[in-house]
Amino acid sequence: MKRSDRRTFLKTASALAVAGASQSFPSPAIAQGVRITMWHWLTRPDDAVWAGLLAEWNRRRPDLQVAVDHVPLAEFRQKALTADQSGAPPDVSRIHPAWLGELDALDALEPLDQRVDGWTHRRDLFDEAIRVCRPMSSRPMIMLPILGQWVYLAYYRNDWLQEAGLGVPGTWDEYLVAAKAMTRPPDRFGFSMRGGIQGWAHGWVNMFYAYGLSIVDERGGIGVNSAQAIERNQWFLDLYRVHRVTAPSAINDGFPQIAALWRAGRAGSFFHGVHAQSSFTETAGDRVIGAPVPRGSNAWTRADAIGMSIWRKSRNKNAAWEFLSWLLEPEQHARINLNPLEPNVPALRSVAARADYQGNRFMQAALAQRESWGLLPYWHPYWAEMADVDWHPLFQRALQGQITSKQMLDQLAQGFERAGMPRRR
Amino acid sequence: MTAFALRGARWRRRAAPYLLLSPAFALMALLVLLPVASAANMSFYNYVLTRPWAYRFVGLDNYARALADPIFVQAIGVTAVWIAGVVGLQLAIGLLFALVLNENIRFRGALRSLVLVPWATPSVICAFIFMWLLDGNHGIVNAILLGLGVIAQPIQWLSTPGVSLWAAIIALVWHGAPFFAVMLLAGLQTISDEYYEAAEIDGAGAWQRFRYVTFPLLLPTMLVTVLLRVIWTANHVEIPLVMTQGGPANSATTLAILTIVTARGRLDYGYAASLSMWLAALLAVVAVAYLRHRARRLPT
Repeated sequence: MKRSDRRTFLKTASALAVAGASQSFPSPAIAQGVRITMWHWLTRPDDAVWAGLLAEWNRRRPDLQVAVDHVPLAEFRQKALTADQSGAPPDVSRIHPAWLGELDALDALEPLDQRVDGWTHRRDLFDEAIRVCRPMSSRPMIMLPILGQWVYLAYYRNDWLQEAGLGVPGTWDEYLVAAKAMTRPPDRFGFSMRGGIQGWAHGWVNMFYAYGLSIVDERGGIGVNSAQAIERNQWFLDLYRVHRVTAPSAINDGFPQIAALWRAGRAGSFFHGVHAQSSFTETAGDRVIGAPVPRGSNAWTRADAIGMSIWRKSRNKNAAWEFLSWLLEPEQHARINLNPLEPNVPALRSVAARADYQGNRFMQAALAQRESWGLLPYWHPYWAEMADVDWHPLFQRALQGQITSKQMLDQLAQGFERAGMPRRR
Repeated sequence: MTAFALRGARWRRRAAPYLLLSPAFALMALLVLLPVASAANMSFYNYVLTRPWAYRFVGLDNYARALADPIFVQAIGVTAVWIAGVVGLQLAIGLLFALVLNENIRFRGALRSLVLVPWATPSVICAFIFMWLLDGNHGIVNAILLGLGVIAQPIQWLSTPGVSLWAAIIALVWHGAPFFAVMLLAGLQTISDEYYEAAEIDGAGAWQRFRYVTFPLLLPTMLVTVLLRVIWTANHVEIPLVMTQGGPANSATTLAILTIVTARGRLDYGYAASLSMWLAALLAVVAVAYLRHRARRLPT
């Protein structure tokens, strides 16, 4: 081959290589083929939506492959924090809002404000969806609301309410009347109380904030054991102790037991996120309605989000952002949040306006109470520990009368006080 | 042969067992001693995963903290009931199975295989099976007892303090009794028929043959099996954790559950390590008692 021919060949080959590469690697952010790890948990093992999305991404982007590790939710926090402390966290993962405070204190997650501000669909995001991704109003956004918002509803057996000649309870006092009217032991229980782990999330905390009470405020003021809080807590305990509107098993019931009560058509009401609707309608179908959570002195309902984050120690942050921002684009966001196994209130206005959402009565009930959406003090360093370890044994002891409402709340207050205000690493 | 060569041969003979055992020692050191030493070291530190800035040497503080913790004190009692209940019942049922399976009965081979089914079931699956069997609202056990008129109200197996621990004990007894049956059956088969024949000639009845022949000759196997099960049961968490979450109100929280909840929920590795050291120390007492008992019985 002549020298000029060789040069021509090399030039042509280089040009082809560059052209090929530019097709394979469409993003300037990704210098070469990369593989990112994603830690994920599935609420339902038969969930096909996520598998479909990941397969689609990996097919479309051979230059940026996503490898998924499924980690059970019960193990997730410990494994993720251990991995982070040992310097090898995943690139991206699902994040539970209750962990935001401790992850923020550890500087474990990548701040995302700048990336989100420059994102094409930024204006489509609801303000509330951005708010839930910050541990505190003054802190950066460290999560993306890919799984929409978890808005809490009161689920009722409407046929039982009608049978008793009652409407949907508007206040907590009306709720007690309804729960009593729906209770016919041993076949029916007005309220499926969750006394086991994570039971605080299902009614207890909603009632607290609906009376304007604060568990702990952003200045560090601890209100969980105020006189009014003790009184409201006693009211809640009495649903089991005095009024007997719960199943006798309530003291140690977890979600599987509650779901079984609903499947058996023996439960009258429960408080849970809009994502759990299929667990309550499986047997009773349209006879189950979703309504705003009862009011106290004000209206308040929990509306947070399980989201996804980029871990700060990731070496592929640009690639991770490309993947996560793709998941948050309207098409993918709609698929994730219209997933019949785990539907959620979308974080994007354009998706919320779709007919699919407009036709879902639970979504409508969730969206209708937008004014009352509130956040829990997840920023507090004690929150995750309180939620996972301390609340339910104390609540169970109070349910049994081993300790008083005051003693239960005093012990929680001690936990908040011991942990102190958050500090940054 | 020179003296040097003789010394070399003697040295090789002495060293050979150690050389042959060294891979096993190395593996033991890597897989057992190192993690135990690491856990022991961790127990002297304030090591909370969410507060790395507070990491520091605290000496025996974590051990003292356990003694002042009412849940730890309660957990010791719960652990004692848990071990005694599980191991005692497994021994009794396992012995009964072993005695039956040692007899020349029909379908003995099939029965010996069938008895292993619970043992082969993963313990988490076993926990879920019993959780639903004993469910206070829909469990079949309550349905049967109500149907037979034995009870008037459903028993809240998993929601009543004290009872929930026994529900978990029943589940683990079902799961672990086959291990006793197999071990004791192996022990029974080492007992020569000649002893029984001699006892029969002396006029011993069935109970006396069991009391004076089977039991003493089976005792070493029983003791080693009991020791192993005590250790395994003390460390077992899956079944009581899945079925009861250690509750209600910590009434089914064993030391092993408390350790795992402290590590997993509080992410307090230092304190959790001290709890595991406490558990190891308590188990060491049992192991030492057993070894001393064995030493007394061995011929000198």
